[in-house]
Amino acid sequence: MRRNLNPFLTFLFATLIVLFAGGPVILSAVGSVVPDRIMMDASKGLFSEGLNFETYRYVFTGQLPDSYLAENANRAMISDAARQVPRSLLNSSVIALSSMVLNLLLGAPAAYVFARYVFPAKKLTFMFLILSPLVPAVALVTPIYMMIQALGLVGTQAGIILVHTAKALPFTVLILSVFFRKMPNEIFEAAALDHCSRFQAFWRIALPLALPSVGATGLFAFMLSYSEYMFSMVLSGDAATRPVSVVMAALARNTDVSWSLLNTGIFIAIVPTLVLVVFVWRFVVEGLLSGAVKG
Amino acid sequence: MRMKTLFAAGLLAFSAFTVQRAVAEDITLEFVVWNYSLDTIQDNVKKFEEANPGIKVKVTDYTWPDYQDSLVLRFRSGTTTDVIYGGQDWLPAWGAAGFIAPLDSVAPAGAVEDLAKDIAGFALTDVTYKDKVYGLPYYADTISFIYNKKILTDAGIPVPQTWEDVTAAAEKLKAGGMEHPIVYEYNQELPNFYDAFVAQAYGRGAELFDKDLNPLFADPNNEAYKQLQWIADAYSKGLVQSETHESKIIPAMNTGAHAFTIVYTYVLAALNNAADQPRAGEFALAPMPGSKHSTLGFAKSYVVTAQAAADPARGEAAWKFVNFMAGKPYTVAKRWAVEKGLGFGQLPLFQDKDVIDAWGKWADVKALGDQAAAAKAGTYTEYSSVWSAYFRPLLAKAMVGEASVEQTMKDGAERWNQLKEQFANR
Repeated sequence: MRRNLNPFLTFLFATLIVLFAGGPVILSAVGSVVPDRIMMDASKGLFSEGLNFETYRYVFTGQLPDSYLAENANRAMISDAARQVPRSLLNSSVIALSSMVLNLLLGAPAAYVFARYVFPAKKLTFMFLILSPLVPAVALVTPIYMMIQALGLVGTQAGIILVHTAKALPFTVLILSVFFRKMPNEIFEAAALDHCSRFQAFWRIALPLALPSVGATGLFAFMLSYSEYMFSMVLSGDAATRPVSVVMAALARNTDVSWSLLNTGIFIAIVPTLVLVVFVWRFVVEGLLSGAVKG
Repeated sequence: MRMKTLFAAGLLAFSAFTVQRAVAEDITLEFVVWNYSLDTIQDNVKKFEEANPGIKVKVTDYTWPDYQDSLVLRFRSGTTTDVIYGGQDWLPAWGAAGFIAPLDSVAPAGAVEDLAKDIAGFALTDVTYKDKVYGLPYYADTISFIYNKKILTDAGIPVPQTWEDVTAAAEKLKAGGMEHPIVYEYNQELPNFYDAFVAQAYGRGAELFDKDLNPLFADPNNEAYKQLQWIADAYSKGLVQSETHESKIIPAMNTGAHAFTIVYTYVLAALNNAADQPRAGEFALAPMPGSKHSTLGFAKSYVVTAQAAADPARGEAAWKFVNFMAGKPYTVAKRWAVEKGLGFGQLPLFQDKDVIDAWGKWADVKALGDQAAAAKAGTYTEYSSVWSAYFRPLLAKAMVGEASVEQTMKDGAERWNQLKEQFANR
C-alpha cells in the first residue's frame, strides 16, 4: 500500500540532505574561484571581481596567480604541494584500479571455494578472514610496514596496492561468498553431468551469474583504496607514488596554502569521485543488495 | 704470445669494467623531510648534486603531523635513511635510542665547532644532546606575540607590554564591539600548543625546571602557573576565540575580527603577504608581554643518522650534504629566509642585505633580531615528548575552565617526576 507523504516535509528533508551532502562541494567550488583577499574582506561582495580561475591555472601549469606578482607580494609563499593534486589523482586511480583487479582475481575464486566446497579448517579460515578487519588498522602499521620493507616495496605503488588489496579482500570474499552460496545446487549438478570441471563450473557458470555482484564488490574495493590514508601515507615516499588522500592532508595543514588554493585542490580531488558516484553508485548498491538478499 | 695478448686484453676489459662500475656506483643519500615547500627542497638538492658529482640525493617526505612516527618506523625497520629533518623536541630521544649520530663523527675535525660559533644560543642548545652537536639549523624561529597595528591605533590602545595590558586592551576592544580580540591556536594534538604556552611564560621570566630538571611550575608563584591562570581568565571573560591550526589563524586575523595572537614568527610573513591577505601590512610583532620579554626559540635541523655514520663513505657524503644545506656561506638558509620567510639560526644572516630587504616587507627586522637574541630554548629530554603529550590535554582543559590550574600543574609535575625516575632507572 502506498502512503501519501507530506510534500512540504519531503521537500524540507530533501533540501536538508542536499545541503548536507552537496554543501561542502558547493562551498569548495565557490571558494576556489574567489581569492582570499576578496573572501575575507567584508566590504567587498563575494563575486565583486568576477570568477577567478588563477588557482586552477597554478595547479595545472605552475603559473603564479597575478596577485602574487604584485608589489609587496611574497611570490614564493604559495604552496607547491597543491601542484601535486593532478598527479596524485592519477596515482590514486592506478592504485585503486590495481587493488580492485587483484581483489577480484583473488577474492572471487576464494569466495566460490568457501561457498561451495567443504575442506579442512574451512570455518576457522573463513572466520579468521572475516574477523581480521576488526583489528584496528593503526595497530598493524608497524608490522605491515616491516613486511613491505622486507619486500623492498616501501616508496612504491606496488606496496600500497598489496596492502589495499589485503584490506579489501575480507569484504570481497564475504560479499561474494554470500552470493555464490545462494546459487541453486541444481545448476552445478547439471554442469557436473555435462562433464564440467570445478574450474569450468566457476568460470563458465558461477562467475557470469554473479557478474553484478562481482562488479559492485570491485567498485567497493576501488573506493576503499581511493580513500585510504594511513598506509598510503606511511608507504608512499614521494610525489611520484603519493595518492590524493595524502596530498589533501598535506594541503590542509601547510600554512602557505591559501584558502582558495586549498578549495581548488579539494574541488579537483572531488570531481572524479563525484563522477564515479553519479555513474556507478546505483550499480554498486543494487549489486551488493542482490548479493545480500537473493534466494 | 697469443695467450699473453689475450690475457692483457682480458685484464684491460676487466679494469675498464671495474672503473665503469666504480663510476656507476654513485652514492644515493636518502633524505627524509616533512613536506613543506618540496619544490625548493628539490631545487636545493639539485644544486648540491651539481656541485658534488658522485652523490645523488633521494627526497622522501611525510606530512608534518605524521613525520616523527613515520621516521621512527623507518629507523626501527632499518629502511635506508641518511639525512633527516630533526626537531628539538625529538633530538634527545633519538640520540638516546642511537638513531642519530653526532656531527663530529662524520665531519672533518674542527668543522662543527667552527660553524657552531655562528649559531644563535637557543638554536645551538636545541641541536645539542649530551654536549654533542647533532644537527645544523634548517630553520630556527621564535614564537611571537602578533598584533594588528591598525586596530590598536584606531582604538587608541598602546602596544601591550605585560599580559595585564593585553587583558585591558582586549576588554576595551570587546567593549567597542569586537567579540573575541584574541585568537588562539588551541589544539592539544600539536606540540606547539605547549610551546606557545612556554613562550608566554618566558615573557614573564618563568623558569619551568631547575638545573636538575625538577619541575617548578606547580608553585603558584611561578610565572608559568600565573600565565596559565591568565589564559584561563581570558577564556572565562570571553576574550579568546580558539582556532585549531595556524593556517586558520591567518584568515581569522585577516577578517579584522581579532587584534592579538601568539604564533610562530613565520606566520607573520603569511599574515602580511599582499598576494592573498586583505589586511596585509597591518600586522606586527611586539616583544612577548611580561617583565622579561623573552620568548621560546627553537631550531629544526639537518641531522645525520647513525646508519649513515656507520658507513664512512655514506657518512662523508651525508656531511657534505648537511654542510651544503646549513653551512657557510649559508646560501640555502638565506634562500629559505628570503623566499619563504623562514627564520634561521645562523646569526650572520641578520646582517645580510638581501635578508633585511626581504623581511622588511613583512616585519621589523631589528625587532626580530632583538627577539631572537632574547629567546630561550625549551627544556627537552628523552621523555619530554611523552610528557608533553600527557600534559597538553591537561593544559587544554585548564585553559577553558574544565580543570583547575592548581590541579593541572600538580598533575603535570607529578607525571614529569615519574618519567624522570623511570628513564633514570632504565
